[in-house]
Amino acid sequence: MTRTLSIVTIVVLLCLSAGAGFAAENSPMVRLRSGIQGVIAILNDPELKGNPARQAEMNVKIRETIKDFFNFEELSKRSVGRPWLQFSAEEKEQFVELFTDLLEQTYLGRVGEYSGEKVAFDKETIIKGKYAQVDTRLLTGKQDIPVFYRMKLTDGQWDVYDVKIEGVSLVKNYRTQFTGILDTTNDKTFEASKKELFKRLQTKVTELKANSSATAENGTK
Amino acid sequence: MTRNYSTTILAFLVLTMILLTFPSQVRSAETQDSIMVAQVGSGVIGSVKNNPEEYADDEFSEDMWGDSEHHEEAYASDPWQGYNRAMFKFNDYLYFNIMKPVTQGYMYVMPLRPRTWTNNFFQNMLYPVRLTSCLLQGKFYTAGAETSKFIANSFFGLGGLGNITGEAVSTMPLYLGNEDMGQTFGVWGIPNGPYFVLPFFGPSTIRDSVGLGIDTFVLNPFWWFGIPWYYSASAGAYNQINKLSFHIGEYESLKEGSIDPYLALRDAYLSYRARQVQDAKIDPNRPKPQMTTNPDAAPEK
Repeated sequence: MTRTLSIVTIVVLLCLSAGAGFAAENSPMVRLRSGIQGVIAILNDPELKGNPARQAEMNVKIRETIKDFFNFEELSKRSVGRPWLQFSAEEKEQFVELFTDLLEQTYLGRVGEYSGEKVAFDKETIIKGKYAQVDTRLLTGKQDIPVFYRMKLTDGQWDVYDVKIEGVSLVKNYRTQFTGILDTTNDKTFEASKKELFKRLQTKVTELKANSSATAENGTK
Repeated sequence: MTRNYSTTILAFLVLTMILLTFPSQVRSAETQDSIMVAQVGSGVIGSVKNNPEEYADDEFSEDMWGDSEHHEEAYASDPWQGYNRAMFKFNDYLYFNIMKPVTQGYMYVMPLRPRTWTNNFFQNMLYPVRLTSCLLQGKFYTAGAETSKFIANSFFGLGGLGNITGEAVSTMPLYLGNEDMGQTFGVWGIPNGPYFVLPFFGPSTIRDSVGLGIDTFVLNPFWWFGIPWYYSASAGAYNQINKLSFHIGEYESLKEGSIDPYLALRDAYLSYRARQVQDAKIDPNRPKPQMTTNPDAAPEK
């Protein structure tokens, strides 16, 4: 009798845990946590940590991990706003590439400033089954910094398309800049301003790359 | 006959009172569906605002997050862009050629701890600024917390050099951040007005400039007791340098990643201020986070 009871209990427990696992599998919060955890794991890797010679390798690894749970296409699209619909397929591709480069060059260096802070995941809000916001806090010891991640479900996976810190949204900040450059009065001005936008992005990326390689050289000396 | 009539009026009045005291818009935390309940007072029924379901089909809309108000607040009216850009350049030059080297020199001479004491001292001195704004915004618990902090730090924290109380904590929900007059005007519903870059002080709006003027010249004790203006001004400048020593590098990183630094800073300032105006409460009874990251994780081999 006790044996059957314990078997039943175990089976019920197994079912429950399996159910919980299934429910959590496609949760934006779980996905975001595993993504951020992946970056932390690379930063903590004893073989790469504090080894300037393998800094480049570490950056590549971090970049791959971030690309996995960030949707740079959606991020680019929303940063441009409605004019995005008038971009040709090639232009879209080129833009995503340039903009991703720009963000990587700017923020990858800052990731290295991580020094064991914890990230707390407070809440997830799903809207229409397609969009989600995950409220997190970076626990710095002195003060918590609230960071909101906005995610979109594409091909069955939740990917980040916007990050909001201290009220400042990444997408909106760049949209302000891009709309300041793109002139949609007529086709002619739009074409010209689009060229200008690509040129400026290109210049910025080249500048940032030159800077980062300069600091990397200084670091190894 | 008259008796029946008065009963009807009484019943109507009671019903109206019940409906008026009932919350006009109930928002469920889980579904975020806004359920409209009669808005009897104004006679407006069913004006659904910010219904997330309505917007989710528009792939460029961000209105579904219920922070459109925030975006509106951060919307930039910038009629004086020519002047503003020139002043932005001036401040940028000033920052990189005067403020930053001076601050770096100061940081070299002055270790972190005395700089923290200085920061605490100025923070404590500027208590009237925060208290006035808390009271004018009706944030009485936060005003109380500021007051007890001021008293504790002044009398037991060596005149404000120490910060013995740490961050304000209370069993009541408190508002985050340092209140100032610009935020007070915002809470009262006064709009930002045109974006306006101030010389030396940086990005601002007409509303915030007026607020800053009141904060600096009326509510700041350095301008009381007949202290000569050059002392007050030097104290203010010293406070700015000391404060900047904790924030070196922030402006640089914003500028580094932007293709139009002027617009990037404008948006960052307005968004940040909009969030300060609609600031969140620190809820002491906030539920524990559902999960956290493990800071010691290493890659699996």
